[in-house]
Amino acid sequence: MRRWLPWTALVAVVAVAIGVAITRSEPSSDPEARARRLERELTCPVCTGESIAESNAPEARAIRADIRDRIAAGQSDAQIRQAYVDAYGERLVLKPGSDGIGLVAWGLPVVALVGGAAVIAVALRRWSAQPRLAASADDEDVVRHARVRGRA
Amino acid sequence: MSRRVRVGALAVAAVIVVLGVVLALNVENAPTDEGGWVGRPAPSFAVETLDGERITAADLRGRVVLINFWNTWCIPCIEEAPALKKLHAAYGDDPGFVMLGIVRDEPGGESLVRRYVADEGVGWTIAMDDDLKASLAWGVTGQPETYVIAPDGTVASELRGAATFEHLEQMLAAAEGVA
Repeated sequence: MRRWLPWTALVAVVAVAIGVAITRSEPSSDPEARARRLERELTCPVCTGESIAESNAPEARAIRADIRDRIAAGQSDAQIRQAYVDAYGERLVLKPGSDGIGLVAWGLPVVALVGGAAVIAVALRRWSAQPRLAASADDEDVVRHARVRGRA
Repeated sequence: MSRRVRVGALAVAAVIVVLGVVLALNVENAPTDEGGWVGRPAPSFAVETLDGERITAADLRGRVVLINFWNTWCIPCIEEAPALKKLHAAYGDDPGFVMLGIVRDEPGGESLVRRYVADEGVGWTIAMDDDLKASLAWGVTGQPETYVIAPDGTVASELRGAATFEHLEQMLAAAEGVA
């Protein structure tokens, strides 16, 4: 029982940590928090590499105001995102889509991870099957003499 | 080169080729995202004209509508103004045709636009888009941008950059093809 105590404590700590992380990462439904989240998800249509949240271009300022108007009008985050995609295209969304090139962006890290794990697994298997160093004839002699001395 | 190395190199090459094809296909589709309104219903928008009249997309249904986003400081807008004037002179009296100029990103404000309209003899309807709501609805990223809406509310043609009279006539012809 005492042997399992540290493991039980560890499992409890990990479970609590995961629970806290999940709770804290749940998106807030507060209008201002939603607006700020959407501003970070959308890229400024007339800038290079700046989100709506970061840019001070007139279009970005207008979109910031428009997002708040849409939230106040009762639109969901998905409806707001879609309105900008309808007007500007998928390029406005910083998060990759679930089809086309977006699928590559999502899939490539998974493929790389699985491929990398497979390569490491194969390499480990091969290394463990082979001796680290091949014994020379002199090494064999040393071992043989040691064994003979041991029997004597 | 061992067989294993050759197979590995071929696998890497295959992955690069597949990625290249995917990227090339994406580049080919890119112009659809740049505007991409043709064939789609015109977005809903509302603007207030210099005469104080509120115009919405719904008000314009049943007519061929040319919408031109512009402002007074944009050089290509000034360059295309004669073509717009010629178009208005040719078709402005047609009750089935509306020309609407929407002014965006105008630091000089409405008073400067009024002066410009009077000085240059702009005869078509002009509206201000101070909050850029109409620009956002259309996905406008600069000026001039011109769109033609067919009577059924479908976008028939679009053009980013300065239009010539020939461009504008082709754009109207596309709307008549849709109607």
